[in-house]
Order: sequence, then structure tokens, then C-alpha cells
Amino acid sequence: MKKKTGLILVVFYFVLYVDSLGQNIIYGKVYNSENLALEKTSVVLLNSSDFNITSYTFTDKDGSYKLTSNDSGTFILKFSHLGYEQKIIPIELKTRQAIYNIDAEMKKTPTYLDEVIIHATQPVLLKGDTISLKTKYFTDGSEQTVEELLSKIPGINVDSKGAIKVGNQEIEKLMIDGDDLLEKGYKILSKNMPAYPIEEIEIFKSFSNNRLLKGIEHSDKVALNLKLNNESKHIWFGNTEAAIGNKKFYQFKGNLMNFGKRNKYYFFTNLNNIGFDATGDIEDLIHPFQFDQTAAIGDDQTFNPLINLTPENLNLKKSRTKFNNAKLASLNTVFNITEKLKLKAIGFFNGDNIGFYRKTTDFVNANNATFTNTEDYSLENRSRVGFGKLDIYYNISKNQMLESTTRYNNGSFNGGSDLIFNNSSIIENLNHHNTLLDQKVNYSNKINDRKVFTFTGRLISEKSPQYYQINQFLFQDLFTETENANNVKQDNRGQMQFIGLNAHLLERKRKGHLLELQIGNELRKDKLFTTFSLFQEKNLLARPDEYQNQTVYQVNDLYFKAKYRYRISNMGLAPYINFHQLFNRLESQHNTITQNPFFVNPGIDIDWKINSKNHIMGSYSLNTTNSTVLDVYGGFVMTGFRSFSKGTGEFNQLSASNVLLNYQLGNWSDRFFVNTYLLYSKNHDFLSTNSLVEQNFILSEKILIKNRELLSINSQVDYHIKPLSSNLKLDLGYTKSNFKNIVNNSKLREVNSYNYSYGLEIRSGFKGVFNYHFGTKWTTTLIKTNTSNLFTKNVSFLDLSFVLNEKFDVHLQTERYHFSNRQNRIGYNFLDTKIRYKFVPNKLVFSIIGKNLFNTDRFKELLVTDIATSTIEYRLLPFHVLFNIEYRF
Amino acid sequence: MKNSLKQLVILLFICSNTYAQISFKAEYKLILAKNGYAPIYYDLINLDNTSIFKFVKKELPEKVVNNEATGEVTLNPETPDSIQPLILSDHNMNEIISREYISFDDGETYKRFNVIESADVKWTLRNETKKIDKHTCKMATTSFRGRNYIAWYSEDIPVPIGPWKFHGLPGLIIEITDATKEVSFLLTNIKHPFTGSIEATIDNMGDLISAKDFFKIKEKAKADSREAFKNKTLSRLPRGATIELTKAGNNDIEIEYSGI
Repeated sequence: MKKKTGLILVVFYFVLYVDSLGQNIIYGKVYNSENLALEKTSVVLLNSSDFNITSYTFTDKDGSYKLTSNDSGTFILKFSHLGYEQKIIPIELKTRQAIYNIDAEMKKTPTYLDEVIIHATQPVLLKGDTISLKTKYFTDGSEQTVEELLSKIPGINVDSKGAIKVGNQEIEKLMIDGDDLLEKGYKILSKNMPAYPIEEIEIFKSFSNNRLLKGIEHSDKVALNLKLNNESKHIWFGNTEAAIGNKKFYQFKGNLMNFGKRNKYYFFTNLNNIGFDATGDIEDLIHPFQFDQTAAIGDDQTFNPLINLTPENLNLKKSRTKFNNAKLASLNTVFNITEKLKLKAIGFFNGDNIGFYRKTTDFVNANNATFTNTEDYSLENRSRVGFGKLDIYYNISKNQMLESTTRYNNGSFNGGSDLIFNNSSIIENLNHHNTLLDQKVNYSNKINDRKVFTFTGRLISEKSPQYYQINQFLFQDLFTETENANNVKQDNRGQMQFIGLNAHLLERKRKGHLLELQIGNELRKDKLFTTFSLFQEKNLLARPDEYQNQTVYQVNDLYFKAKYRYRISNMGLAPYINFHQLFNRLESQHNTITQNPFFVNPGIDIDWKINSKNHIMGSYSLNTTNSTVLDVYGGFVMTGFRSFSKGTGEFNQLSASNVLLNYQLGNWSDRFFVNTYLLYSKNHDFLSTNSLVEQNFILSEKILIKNRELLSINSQVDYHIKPLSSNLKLDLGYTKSNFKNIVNNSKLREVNSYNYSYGLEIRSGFKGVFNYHFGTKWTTTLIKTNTSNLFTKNVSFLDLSFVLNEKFDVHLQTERYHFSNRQNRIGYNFLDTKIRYKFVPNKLVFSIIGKNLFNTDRFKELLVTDIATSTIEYRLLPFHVLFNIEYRF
Repeated sequence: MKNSLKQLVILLFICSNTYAQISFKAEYKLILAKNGYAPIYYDLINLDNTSIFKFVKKELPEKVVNNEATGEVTLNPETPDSIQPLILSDHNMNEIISREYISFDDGETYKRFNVIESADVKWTLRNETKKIDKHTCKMATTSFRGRNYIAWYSEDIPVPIGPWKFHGLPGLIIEITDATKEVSFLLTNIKHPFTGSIEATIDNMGDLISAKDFFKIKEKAKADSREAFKNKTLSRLPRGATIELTKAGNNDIEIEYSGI
């Protein structure tokens, strides 16, 4: 056997010699102790100094191997085979080529491998809560602004007011390369910033405003970060857009930006009279509301003026009803001064003249009072708002941070209206001023990977005086002793001061559970001094006692809050309990009362992902709230030209139980997706009204009533019909609510209201030039007291788009509104169009925008309440065509 | 297909049996950008001259994920191109047969393909070492189907196999990651001797197609699926919003067909 092998090897030797001149050759055979060839044995030639592999191979079927090497020196030949002992043979390779025959006999060894391998560092971070999207995959170049861009990203929605939502949730902020310019006031940015510099969108889920809280705090917040492409960094860029049309309609927009790594500047301006709201919602910037967030102390402290002349929400979009002349300029900057210090400053000025025209007919049928009122209302409102905000972020160390925010707002509003009320002419005037100063300081300390402590202090001072005047006296029946009066005035001096301190500890337990403890004290002091005066010309006739307020309301809330959030496999549970010890003090012109109530608010949140297709979320809470200043003042205040209201004049704590359930079947982009909400709330106590309704006035007084209920169910079904390349959406809703009130000395009467809605939408996803989107929705409202009022609304739309080529597109939008109640039926149609030609795409774009092409100048809608059915007629912006040029630089 | 008969024989041998007495089993975790970086698990079983790489389970396979806490929607506009892949490597013949499922309609339905290829992985051995758990690993690099990989293998476990189609290093591959970090296989578990059984069946062996042809089919499937995805999502968008998926990115494990 050995001889034969030797012969073969000699032959082999020559073969090898011929085909590998100039190399060292090592060959041989590997066998086990039973002299059987060992296949698949690894043979490795290692440098004996550093154990680097020079060459390697595996034995073949008959156990033989061949290795070559160009190197010389001392080496190790290593034979390994699973289940055998490793064999190491030292070998010296000469400088000249040579052939070495090395056989190896391997000894069996019992081998047991049963181990788990832990990779300490993984090559890829599981970016579980960040999603990056390259914008180019989702865009077609027709999007002009960030808002339009975002609305094209699946999963991101932009609603009609400009709020950006990921799924159902509004984003917390919109950042540019990680720097946040406008917080919740991001609409200013998304509505104005051009889309083209944006290369990538990052969606941060579980977003924490405070970097130290990331991973510890429970966060379901979402933020967007827009990453700019490299060409747009460090350079000035921007655009201007100018539109001019018939009837003096115009718009001018200018954006100028410079985004560098250290500093960012953004200047923008918007001037228009086409009903466009350039600031989005300024309220968000002045009073950013960050509910249930660490260091969010004081965010819910708002001051609501008693008189408001701005029109209520209408069925039509504001751009159809708002006659405006807005002039807005804003400068926003971020300075990264050092690695540790960041400064952010925002300032803007907004001036606007808003016009609004409305004609109302109310058919009032209240207890013992049946009459018809007509109002022809024409409002001019001049507003000037200046706002400044300075944020300082100082990273003391890796684990400590200090933040300071200072806000200042100064607004003045001068409103005047011409009103024809039941054929008599009335002029009302409202001067309103608002000054706000707000200072917050927050210190955070990350004690370890699982524990964070924050301490927050905040001081807010807000003043909001209002001077309201009516040049007529409608209240002869109310003030019988002063029948000579011919005009009235209402002065409101409202001011609020708030001081709050809060200490908050968050601890992330093992297994991901989260414990939160908070202790704090909040003191709010409100002053509400109101004066109602009756005049004959300029002579003061009377100041009726019951119509004056000298209210000082002080609430001190000492609280302790505990919350534990835990997760058991696919279910999350978060029970919480809040203890409040209040010290209330109410001073009025007549007396001073105090009260020290103690209450406990418990609740629980549940989140259960049954499987990939079924997901249930729910919450239950029992909540007691303390009265606000607007609930406690004891004298009547005139809040409109014929309405007066007053609070209870005493302390109240209102308790309510709330249940919310959400069930999702399937996932958002499945062919079939159902999302259902159920909300039930029961107010064990609530504030209702006792009103006296007469033709010339309404007096309403808050009263405490027991038991009010609300049930609301809403379900949305999405189904993609493949053969039609279209998607069908169904929207079904039902709301039932009841409450009790008193009208015209009736007994406590129950008002039941029922609301049914059903809608349908179908939208195409065709490849070609043409696409359509059709939708219709009916809403029926039934209000039942001793009589019942029924009202039905139908809103439909049909949008057609033709994208003829990359440069030219045409969009048509039609809308139909239809209202009916038992007496009336009204219908309106609208057509808007936009024709766009991209002369130089992304650079120079011309468009023709046609609004209200049917020239509908008035719009009438129907409304029902528990005391009246009404028709309301608005004046609309007339038909106009704008020629628009957009140029980017 | 001059060797088709031989292949058929080998495969029938592998496939028609349920094995007992398998000597070596490794479990791998695949972290794939395409799957939203959620792990996918595979078993690798080594027989004498053949290794079987088989899909076990996948986490978050949905392309749209609803956040547990908030109900918000996350989109992954990629279609999972393959469900339950099975890769059989015959190391003697240097042949790999894989069972692939691809979708032409964005995951509504899947079509099966049996792909044959001769996949030689050309390794460059490097001197760098790193310790993964208790194993001292050596580095090797390779380019494979459009991606550049760094592999870490351990000579302590002298089996020349690895995940996916990677094999031929003087030790088991403990970790292999591509340069873009879109693909990484991590060894999580090893067992030897392994005495469990594994079923690896490939039916319809006559339908074998070449990897080159399969790549062409896959391109078409991708394009069709993106269009289907676009149509499906478009309707969920609010009034006035539009969506256009332009050029598709490719984050498959195998990006381009490169000869062999």
C-alpha cells in the first residue's frame, strides 16, 4: 500500500514540478488513525512569526492536498478537521523553489460544539426608530414647497391646515440638517421653503426633544429631519414668487436661506390678498403645546380673551371666504457657537387686514320664545403681531444639559364691524391688545443609562386688555331704568401670572419598563376686571352691579404624579395616578372665599398587538379638573353685540370618565385596511348654561349639572381594486351626545344630538397622463329637545389631473356642497384650475391659477342648534385669475 | 446544460430524503436593509460535500409597519423579493441550486424558481483579526454579485462553509457584512454533532433556470412590483397629493449578475 502510494507521489511530483516552476510546493496526504483518507481537512500554511495565512486549501476525496508558496522562512502547516485534534507541523521553506511532501495523521477527538455567539458590536445599528427616505423616489418634480413634497411621501400626510402627520400623528418638529428652526410653528417653513434642495427625509420615531431622554423617556412623538443635498449647503438660496391677477389680486413670496453647518439663517416674506395664510398657525409658535412631555410645565397655561370677533369655523376653506391683505416678514437663525452652546432666535412681524362678510337668519324656537333674527355682518379686523423668541442650549457635559427659552409676543387687534340687525344699523368696535413674556429654564441630568432627572422652572406673564363698544342700545328690556342709553361699552382687563416648578425622574427598568415620578408646584393667578357701562352719547348713565367683575382667582396646585409603563410580550400597559392638593382662592368685589380640595386622577393606557394584522389600543381615565377663571367669575360680561355670559361665582371640580378604543385590521398599505375608533366619555359633573334667550339679547350663566355622555364611533375602510388600478375608501361615523341645559326658565331639559356620516372616495393610480380622484360624504345631524331639528350636508369633489409631459400639467378641482333641512335645499358648485408650464424646471415656472371659475359670490349654509335653525350666508372671494411667475435662485 | 443529469441525481439525493445524523449546524441572523434591518433567521447544515442554507423565520416581514405605540405608519417601499429561500451548495461540483420565490405584484402572490449557478467565491485573505465572543477571527474580503464583503471566519471551527452562497474559507464564517452595511449575516449559534433532521426539498427539478436568466426575470418583477406598490398607496393619500416612484434603488443581497 505504501509503495504504491509512493509511486503515485513520484508521478505527482513531476506533474507539480512542471506546472509550478518558481514556487515552493507542499503536498501530502491526510488520513486518520485507521489509515482512511480524510476529506475536507483544512490545510493552512501560517507564517510562524505573526500567524498570518500564506496559503490554504482543503484535502480532496482521497485526502490529498497541494499548497504553493512564493515565500521563504519558517512556517507552520496546520491541519484541522472537525472532530479531530488539530495537527501542527513546523516547516522551513527555502529561498529556492522546492517540493515538500508532508503527510499528516489526524487523531480523533470527541468534539462538542454547542454555543451561542454574542456579537458585541453589530455591523449595522438597528435603526429601529429612524426611517430615511430618499426624496427622489417619491417625487415628480411638480412639488414646489416642502409641504407639497411631504404630501407626496407615502405615510406622510399634510392636512388642509398644513399640519404634517406621519400616519395619524402630527409631527413634533421639522428640522433642517438636525437644527430645528420653528418648532411646532414649522408650517411657516413647510409652506414656504422650496422642495428642491431636499435630498433625504428622516422620520424619527420615539423622538425626544431632550437628547438625554432619548431611549429612557417613553416617546410616541415623531419628528422629521430634512437633509439638504451638498450643493445647497453653505450657499444662499431661495426663491421668489409673484402673482398678479384681475381685480387687484396679488401675491408675493420671497424666501432667502443660508444653511451652513454652524449657522443657519432663514428669512422670508409673504404679501398677499388672496386669502392665503402665510403664517400657518402662529398660535403654535407663541404657545407651543407639548402635552405629556418632560419639562412641559406651563404649556397648558393659556389666556383666552372673553370677546372674539374672528369668524367661527366654516364648511368652506378659509381661502374662499377670507378677504385679507397680509404682510409677513420673519427672520430665523440658529448659531452653533461652540460644540456645547447653541443659540436659536426667531422673530416675525405679521400685519393683516381681514375682511369677512356674513348674513345670518336665525329661527329661534326656545322655551316660550319664538322669533326670527337677521344679521348682516361686515367685519374689518386689523392685526399687528410682533413675536420674538430666544432659545439657548448649553451642553454642560455628556450627561448634563441646560436649556433656556424666552418668548415675547406683542399683538394688537383693531376690529370694527358694520352690522344690520333686524333692520337697525349697529357699529361695533373691539380693540384688543396682548402682551406675553415667558421664561423657562430646564436642567437635565442623566444619572446613568437608565435614569434621568430633570428640573424645570417657568414664569409666564400675560396681559390681554379688551375695549369693546357698540353704538346702539338693544337692552331696554334688560336695563329698564336707563332707557335713555344709546351706546354701551365693555372693558376687560385680563391678566395672568404663572410660576411653576417641577422635578421629574424617569427610570427605564430592565425589560424596558419605565417608571416616572414627578413632584411639583404650580401657582397661577388670574385677574379679571371687567366693566360694563351704559352711555347716552358720552355721558355715563349706569354701571349695573351684576355686570361688573373684580375677580382675582388664585390656584396653587401641589402635585405628585406616578406612572409605570410596562410591556408583557406584545402588550403594553401604563397605569398612572396623580395626586393634587389644591389651594384655591377667589376674590370678588363682594367677598373672598378659599377652598383646599384634594383629588386623585387615576388612569391606564393599553396597547395590544395581537398579531401582525390585528392591533388594539385603548385607554381609560378618571379625571378631575379644577375650574378656570372663565368658569368662576361672578358678574356678567358682554361677549358679543347681544350676548352676555358669566361663570358660576364659586369653585368647582369637575370629574369625568373617558374610554378610548382603537382597532386596526391589517396594515396601512395592505390591499385591505380597516381602522376603527370608539370614544366614550361621561362627565359626572359638567358646566352647562342657564340662558335667557330674547330677541335682542342672550344672557347665559354657567351652572353645574350632573351626567353628560358622548359616544363616537368612526371607521375607515381602504380597499385597493386591482383591475381598476384604483382605491376605494369608505368612511363611516356615528356620534351621539347628550347634555342638559336651561333655556328661558325651563326645567332642566335634555338635549340629544345624533350625527351620522358616511363617505366614499375612489382614487386612481394610472400610469399614464390622466388620473382622477372622486369623493362624496354625507353628514346628517339630528338635535332633539322637546322638538327635533334635522339637517343634512353633502360635500363631493372630483379632481382631474393631466400631466401631459414633464413641463406641462393641468389640474382641475371641482367641489359640490349641498345642504338640506326640513324647509330648505341649497347647492353650490366650485371649479378651480391650475395650468402650469415649467419653462426651466425647478428654476423658472409660469402658471395660470383660476379660482372660483363659476364666480359664486355668496355661499349659504344651514345649521341647527338646540334653540335654532339658521341659514348663514358668506361672501366669497370672486372669480379671479392669477398669472404666477416663480423663480429660484 | 450538459451536466443536468448529474445535477438531477445529486439533487434528488439531497432532496428526497429527510436526514438524520447531520453532523454540523449553524444558525445565522441576517440583518438586511431591505427588511427594515429587522432580523431574518437561517439554518446552515453541513453534510459531507453539501451544505443546506435554509430560511427559518423572519421578523417584521411587512413592508409597512404600524408602530406599536402610536399607530403611525412606516413604509419600506421595497418588496421582499424572496420568501423562504433554500440554497443547496454542492462543494465538489461547485454548484449551487437555490429555490427562490419572487413577486410580480408587490407581494400579493409569489412565483417559484429553481436557479442553478456555479458560484465560486474568490477570497482575499487579510491579516486583520478581531475577537467575536470567544473566537479569534480572521478577515477575508470578496466581491460577490455587486457587493463588496468583509468576512470574519474562525480557524477553530474548520468547516469551509458559510451563510448564503459564501464558502471556501479555512474556517466557519462568523460574520459577513457588505461595505454599505445593507447586508450582514451574523452567526448566532453552532451545534456539533447535530442529530436533528432537516427537510430540504426542491420539486420540479426539470425547471432549472440559469442565474443569468433569473436576474432578468427579477428585474422585471421588481419593476412590476414597484408599479403595483405605487398604485396601491396612491389612493391612501389625501386629496391633491400625488406620488411618482422614479428610479428604483436596489438593496437586494445580489445586485448584479457578474458572469461566472
